[in-house]
Amino acid sequence: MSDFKVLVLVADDNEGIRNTTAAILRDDGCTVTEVNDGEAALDALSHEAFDVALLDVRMPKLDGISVVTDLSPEPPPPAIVMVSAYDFGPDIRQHLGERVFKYLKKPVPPKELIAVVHSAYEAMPRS
Amino acid sequence: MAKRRQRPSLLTVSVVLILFVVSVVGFVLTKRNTDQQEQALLQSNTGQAAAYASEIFSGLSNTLGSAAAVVTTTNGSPAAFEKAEVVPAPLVLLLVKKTGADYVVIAGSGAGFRTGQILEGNALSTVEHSGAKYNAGPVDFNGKLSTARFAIGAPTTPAGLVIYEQFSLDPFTATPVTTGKPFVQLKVALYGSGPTSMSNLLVSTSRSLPLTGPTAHASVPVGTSEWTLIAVARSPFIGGFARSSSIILLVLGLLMALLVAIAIETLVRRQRYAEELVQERTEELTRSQAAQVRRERLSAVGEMATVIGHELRNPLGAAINLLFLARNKVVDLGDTELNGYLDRAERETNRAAGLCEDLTSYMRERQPVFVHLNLGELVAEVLESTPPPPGIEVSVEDNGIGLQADRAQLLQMLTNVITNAYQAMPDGGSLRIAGSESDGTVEITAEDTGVGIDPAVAERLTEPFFTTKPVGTGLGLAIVQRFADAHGGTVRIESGPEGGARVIIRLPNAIAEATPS
Repeated sequence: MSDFKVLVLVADDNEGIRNTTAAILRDDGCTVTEVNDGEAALDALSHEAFDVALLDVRMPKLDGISVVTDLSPEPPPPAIVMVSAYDFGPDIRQHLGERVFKYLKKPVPPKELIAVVHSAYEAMPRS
Repeated sequence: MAKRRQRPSLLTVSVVLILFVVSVVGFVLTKRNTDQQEQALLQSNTGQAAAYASEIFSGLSNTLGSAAAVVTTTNGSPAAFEKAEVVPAPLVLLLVKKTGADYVVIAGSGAGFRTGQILEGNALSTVEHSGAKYNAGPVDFNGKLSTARFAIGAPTTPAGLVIYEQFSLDPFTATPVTTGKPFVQLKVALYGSGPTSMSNLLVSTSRSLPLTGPTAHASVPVGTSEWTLIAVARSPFIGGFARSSSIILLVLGLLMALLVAIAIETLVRRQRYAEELVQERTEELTRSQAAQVRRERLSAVGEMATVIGHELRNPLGAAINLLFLARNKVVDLGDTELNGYLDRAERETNRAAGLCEDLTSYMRERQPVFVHLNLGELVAEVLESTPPPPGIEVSVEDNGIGLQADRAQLLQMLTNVITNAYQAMPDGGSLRIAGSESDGTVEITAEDTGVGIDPAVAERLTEPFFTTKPVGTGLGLAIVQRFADAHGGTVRIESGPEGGARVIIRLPNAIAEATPS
């Protein structure tokens, strides 16, 4: 476990992925909040401050792309990492542009997951 | 249906040949028959005309006969001869006495001769051959007038005396010889004794001599001499229609051959066309059915593959994450055996993840996004992410090729081809990757020294789910094929020159010229 204190939101309707992803990040020292749909993700992002948000593209109630487009500028949004079982990469990049830090395709190798969260955190502008 | 120039059928050619031969034989036989009939009629008419002419000249016999009687009665008295025998011009009638070797005119009437004149030339020749019956001497035509000569001598006349007669006429004016009934249907020319030449012409009904076409010759007896009558028909004796029957027969025969040929050829071609059409449609149908079956199979397989490919990602992701978490615990515990199990479990789940990737790659429907790419850089990128296993040497001759292609798809194609080559060389070997460009086509060749290609399955290697390897989805080369298709290119897989396999990807690069990098 490192001393990497990062606030991470993991939004995925698949419990297995969500729990294990959260566990890996917690092992790495992150503080993780888990939600299982898009509305809950948007709600959490509106009320709490996060450094990194891992958003599944396909989620009930509100999909990951809508969560990003509906985000209010305050508080400042976290670094967004989109995750999907589908090959949406090019389309999402075209649609959301710079608002998404990285697109990852499932299954995401755990080491890559950790590395992306680190680099997302480091790329965040600090006030 | 492909149009091509067709040759006439054997049947048509045979029938046309038979009809042609029949027509020609019919023509020849009919023509010979009508010619023979025509010639027989012409000969018959000419004979009649000759007899008629001969009859006219027999009148001369009377003139000369009566003059001979006068000479005999008057014992050759010139005075009595001149008194009794006065003839109008252009007739000449002379009493000639043989004196030594000469024949001397002792009495007579007619222009051109005088008493005491010694006969010469044709006149001399005529009297020299005189006898009891009158004879005709040489006939001559001087270009203007024709002259005929006759003579009668002893014993019809007293010995040493000869009666000579001659007349001249324009041979082309009508005379009783050429206007009689037998001459109505004929063009004739009457010649004296000897050759039938212009110098020997006496009369003719045609100015264009000699007469041409089918001719008939007949002898005209004049005294002891024989003249020659040559005749041609003014119009066919057997009638114009009968005369033309052979040519009509030939034309009709050839026309019939042509019509029959057209009819047969039309029928033959229709039948041939129908047969070809049926064959073509049958082939089209067979192809279309095969393609349909293939499409349906691929569609069903594809749907299943897509579902599996996507739905397995979440449980696989969870499993991979759990293995990662478990490994962290095991490392903490220091259990090496359990660590080994985890290694194997990770490898298997990673393979399953690879299968999911292949399935979704193959089924992904996406048009290529063309961008300018550098082949060498792309190959280097693939070799970096997929480095050659130990024992395999890779050489790259990219020749600085640049091309317009979809980056992700070309990377995938190169990855699959290179991975395939690695797998074909479990005991090591070499892989040569080369690029070249000609005529707007970029050719990427990957040549390995591996196990090679069984020719029996070479064509099936790009079919989805077809594999000769114990491990693999059978989608690697199918993906290469599908992406090459999407680029308008081709993929060929063949045995290498020294064993092993050679994969050749050809991609059109025409866009490169229009879109500078």
